Formats: sequence, C-alpha cells, structure tokens
Amino acid sequence: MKMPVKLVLSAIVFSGLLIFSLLAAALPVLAQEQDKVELKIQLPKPMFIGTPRNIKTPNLEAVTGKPRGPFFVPKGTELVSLKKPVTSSDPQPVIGELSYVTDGEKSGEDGYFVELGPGPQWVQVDLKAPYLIQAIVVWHYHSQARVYRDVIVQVSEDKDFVNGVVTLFNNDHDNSSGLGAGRDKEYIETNEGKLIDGKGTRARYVRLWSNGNTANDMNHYVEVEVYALPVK
Amino acid sequence: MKKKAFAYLFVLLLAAALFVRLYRLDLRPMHHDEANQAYKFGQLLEKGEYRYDPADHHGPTLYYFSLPFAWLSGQKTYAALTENTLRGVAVFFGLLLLLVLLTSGKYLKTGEKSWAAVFLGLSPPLVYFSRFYIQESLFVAFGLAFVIFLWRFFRKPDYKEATWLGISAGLLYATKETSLIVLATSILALVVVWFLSWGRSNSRKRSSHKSESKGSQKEVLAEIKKVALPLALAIFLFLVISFLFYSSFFRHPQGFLDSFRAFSGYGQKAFEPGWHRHGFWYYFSLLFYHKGSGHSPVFSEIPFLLLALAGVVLSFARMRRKSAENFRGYLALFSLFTALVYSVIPYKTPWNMLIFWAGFLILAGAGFVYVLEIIKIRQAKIILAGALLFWAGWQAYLVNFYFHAYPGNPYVYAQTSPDFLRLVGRVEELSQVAEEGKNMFIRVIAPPEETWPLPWYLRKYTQVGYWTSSEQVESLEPAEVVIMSAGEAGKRSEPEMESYSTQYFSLRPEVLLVLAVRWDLWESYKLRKISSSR
Repeated sequence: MKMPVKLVLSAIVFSGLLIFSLLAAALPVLAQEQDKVELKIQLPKPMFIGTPRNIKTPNLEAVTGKPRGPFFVPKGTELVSLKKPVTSSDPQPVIGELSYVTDGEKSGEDGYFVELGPGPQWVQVDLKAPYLIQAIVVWHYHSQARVYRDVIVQVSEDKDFVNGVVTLFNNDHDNSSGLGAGRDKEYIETNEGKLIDGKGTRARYVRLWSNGNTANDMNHYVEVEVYALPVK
Repeated sequence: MKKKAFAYLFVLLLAAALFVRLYRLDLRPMHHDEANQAYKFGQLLEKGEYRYDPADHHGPTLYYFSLPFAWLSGQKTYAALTENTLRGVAVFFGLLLLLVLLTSGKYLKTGEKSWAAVFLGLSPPLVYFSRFYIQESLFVAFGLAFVIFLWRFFRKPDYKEATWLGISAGLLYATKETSLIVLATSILALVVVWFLSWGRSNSRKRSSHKSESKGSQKEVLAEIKKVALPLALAIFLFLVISFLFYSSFFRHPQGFLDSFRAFSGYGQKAFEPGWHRHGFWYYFSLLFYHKGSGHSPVFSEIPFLLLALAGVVLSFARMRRKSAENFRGYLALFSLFTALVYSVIPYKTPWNMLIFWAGFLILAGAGFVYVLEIIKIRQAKIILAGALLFWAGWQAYLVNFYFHAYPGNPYVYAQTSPDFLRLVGRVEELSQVAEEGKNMFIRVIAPPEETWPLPWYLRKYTQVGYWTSSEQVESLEPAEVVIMSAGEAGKRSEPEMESYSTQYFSLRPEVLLVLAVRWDLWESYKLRKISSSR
C-alpha cells in the first residue's frame, strides 16, 4: 500500500514547524537559565541527627535527611546582609545581641543566638540600600529538632512596613499573628536553615516574624542571610 | 526549745510545706508516667477493678490511697478526675514525711528535727516529686517510717513498736516491690551500727570484766527470746498488709505471689535500662551542680550536701558505746548504703534518689545544729540561717514554678512539653466548632512512648481510637482530628494527607506530634476564630 506523498510531506513540515516553535520559545528561557548560578550557602555543623520524617502533607515540609537541592540565582547575586544593622520588636533581647543576626556566625552552640521575648516578635535587617532580593536564608535555632510558629518573612522599602509590603513566606495557618493567614509549610529547624525565594523583589528592609516554638515560648535567631542583586 | 514552741514552729513549717506543694499544682503538664498511673486509678475508681501487673506500674498503694481523694472531691469517673485531685495524693504523703520525722522522738534533738523538717519541707526535689502523681512521695514517707521504726524496735522490741514496724514495712513493700533495697540497706545499717557499738562496749568490758563474758552470752539469748514474738508480729503484719494490697483485697490472691515474681523483671530492667542508663555519679551530679543552656540559672544543693557531710562525719565521730545515741550513725549508714546501691544500678531516674536524699537532709539538719553551736555570734547565726533559707526557697521556686517543665531543670525527666498543652487547647477549640462536639472522632496513631499523656488529656472525648502504627489504619477518614507521631505521619500518602490541615506540636524535647484537622473542620474553626476576634 502506497503512502500518500502529500500526507507524509505535510507531516514532516508540521513536525519541523512544531520543533522549531518549541525551540524558539525555550531559547530565551535557556539563555536566562544560563545566566543563573547555584547559590552557595555556607552551612554550619549539624547539631543533631534526627530521624528523617518524610511527611507528605500540604502544610508540613518533608524532612528528607538529604541535603537541600540546588537553588539558582542570577549571576552577580551576593550576600548583602552581612554586618548590616538589625532592629527588633524586642529591643532588649533576653539572651545575646541583635547584631548576632547578621554577624556571619551560624553555629548552633550556645553564645551564637539571640533570644527575643515570648509571643509574636520580629527582627528587621536594614540592607542600607534597595536590592533585588533573590533569597533569604534564616536559621532560628538548630541544635534541637523544633518548629518555629507563624514564621512570616516580609520585605519592603518602607522601614515601618506600612507601604509596599511584600510577603515572601507565611506559615501562620490560623492568622494568630494577625498579619493574615498563610499557606506555606511548617518546617523543622536544621543546620540547613530555611531558604525563602526572594523572587527578585525590590526592597531595602527585611522583616522576619515568629511566635514562639515547640520547645518554649521564646523566639530565636542564629543568623539571617539575604542574597540579592544591586539595583541598577 | 520548749515543747509548745516546737509544736507551733512545726505547724508553721507544715503550713509552709503545704503551700509550696499545693500552689499551682496543675502548672506542669502531666508526665507520661503520671497519666499512665491516672488511667490505672481511673479503672479502679470507675469499675472497682485493679489487678497487680508484675511487669510495670509498681505496687497498688497509690491507687487505693487515691480513692478517698476522689470521693472527697466528688469525682466518680476517670473523665471527672483532675490534676489537683491526683497530685493532692502526692502532696498529702509529702507532708506525711514531715510528720514521720516526729516519730524519731528522743533519738534526734528538737533543734535537729526542726531544721530537718525545714530542709525536707523546702527541698526542691522533694517538693517537685510531692507534686507528681507517681509512687515516690508515698515510697519516701513509708521508707523513712520503716527506717525509724526499725531503729525504735531495735531499741525497744515490744509489741507496740513491732506493730508500727510491720505496718510501715507492709505499706512500703505494697508501694514498690523494689523497696527490698530499702529493707535490706536499713537492716544492714542496723547490723553495722550494732556491731560497732557492741564492739566498743565489748572491748571495754573485756579490759575490765573479763569474767563476765559468760553472763553476757546469757543476756544475749534472753534478749533474742524477748524479741522473737514481737518480731514475728511485725513480719505477720508485713505479710498481711502486703497481701491485702497486692491481692486487690482478696480478689486476685495471685497478685501477692506475682509481686515476688516481679523481681526478675525489675532486676533485668535495672541492669538493661535502655535509655535510662546513667553513670555512677548521676544522682550526686544532679544535686551538686546543674546548669542548662543559655542563661539558665544554676541549680545546686551544695549547701545541703555540705551540711549532710558534716552530719555524717559527726554521726560517726560521736558513735557511742550506748547504742541509744547512735541513731544518727544508723541513719548515715542507711543513707550511704542506699545511695551506693542506687548509684551502682545502671537504671536511674531522678525520683529514685529521694529516699536516700531524705536521709541525708535529716543528717543535714543535725549538721546545721552543730554548725550553729560552734558559731558564737548571734547575728552570724541569724545571717547564716537566713542565707540557707533564702537559697532553699529560691531553688524551690526555680525548680517547681519557673523551670517546672524545662530541660534545664535537673529533675525534669522525659517531661511533657508545655507546648503539648497547646495541642490539647487546639483540640478543645476544635470540639467547640465540630458538630459532634466532644463526640467528634479522633484518631491517635503513635507508638506507646509517643502516645502518653494523650489518654489523660483526651479523657472527656467519647470517640477516641488509639493505634500504635500507621499500618493498622487503612484510611484516616472519617476522623475529623488525627494526632500522629511524626514517624507514623510520614507513612501516610500525600493524597490522603491533602484532606487535612496539619501542624506540629512538641510532646517532649526532640519528639514532635502532628495534629491533622480535616479541612472542613479547619475552615469552620478559622471562620469562628475570625468572627470572635472582630
């Protein structure tokens, strides 16, 4: 049985067009991906070896026990929070000093974390200039398996967080902090910290909320790192 | 000190001891063991059922002595019970310990008894475990009673003393089978003291009246005859009381024999203790110096350890030919032997040290009286006594009211986290939203060590099911609320878990539970919360 020549030719032409269109659509994306590099984060020594709990639920993050996968950021992204000034809703911490939040020390041992009072509390990092924020990594306390409640991460160009506030992360499921209910997942603290996608949001200030934890009512920060691109 | 003044002082001490034991008695979340004991008692209260379990839970006195407390509180069911009612039992026996001290009579000076009562009344670990619904406060009260009555019987072996000895021994054994250690170490201490005082007495006699040795042998025989019948009464009472309790008052006679069979199990546990294994110096390290992480305060019983040491040294230095004066030496030997045995056994929990620590605190009372005697300046005495009271009070406050459930506290052991009460509170709030209220269906999926004290806190809910592993549960539905250990939650499938909103809560340090709430109930809960906040 002879194949209709026209049909074969049409199929070839159609396939060719389809492949060409797909390539044309993908090329900019690929080019964009080529401009991205893996974010390198220096991790502190792990302080506990927990049994991995791979909980598959919409609002609890799985702990696989394996290293976090790579996170890509645009070329030129750098750590912009190191040694930057920190303010807080609790200006007189119970333990440590607010400067610990951006001092570059991420050890889970005693003497490396700042403890804020009970209830909803925030720390705020002033990056000293607007940046395009790519990633925020936060270590609350990682020498024990614990979960910090109502973690909310916001960025803004307004130091009072009244105007132009963008919420990048919110796992306050029942709105107990009063900033609106979030749908992000609760997670167990580890030495990897929690990486939050900055989505290239333009901001000068980063504010991080928490509301106690599963071990006690206090709020802790070992380190906060903000990776960003300068605004051109 | 005059008798009347001592009586007033003692009543004042009792009132202070009662206050520190009763104040905010329900502050600390129920411990795994407390909840377990509460459940056992609930069965006795509701159904009149109790059967001794040789594998676990120790003896029955705790449950039977809890009955009047529940009746007086008008609580007739497990669900109706409260923390205050149950812990009230421990408080009562914690106070009884102070009264037991009075039975030492002339063998301790009034000043020694007074200071010993202060130390026993305010001692942070003794107060802590007098607010804890386990056997320990009964065990210490009966244990110390036995130690004192044994001495009294030794000094005056008549039927009256024998009766008290038998009753205290029976109650002690019916509280914990492992009281054999206390029975053995107190008898050993008595034998050693007798031998030491007899040796001194004999060496004097040998030097002056060698010819009287035959006469003394006859005296000993006569003494033995005089002791035999009262001793038989004491043993009889010990057996009767033990039998009554272990046999559930004749319902299960097998229980009495089982209490002896339990020794092999407890022996195995003592030397294969799993994660309860601790080193030889564990107990003394808790008492000596303990500091939690961060800015945790120092917990230390150093002043009392030093005073106890002074008391022990004095007791031995003052060991007399006349054994009537050797009660302190006997108590010192008992405390040292008991501490040694408990320290050698690898299985250790903080509450096991109470029995010998109570002995040392009485010796600390004797030691402090001696210290006050050698200080000649009145103001210095007042300052020293004030400083000691301040330290005891401060430590008692830290241990029992400020760090009552935090791991920095040396006596906190596998304690339920305060965060767990948030889970309990959340379930309560959910039940107020759920159509079925307290009849909503709750599943608990967790191994036993991650389940307790949930059965205590969920005792008022009528539809609660317990599964020890996820494999036993085909589907989480139709449960509106599911509480799972993190390990068991990890075994559920993603699509199934999508029907639930989930949140972590801490059961104990490093142990997390997952509370899963069906989305429809969760949304109703959120709506209610929003409307109530407006």
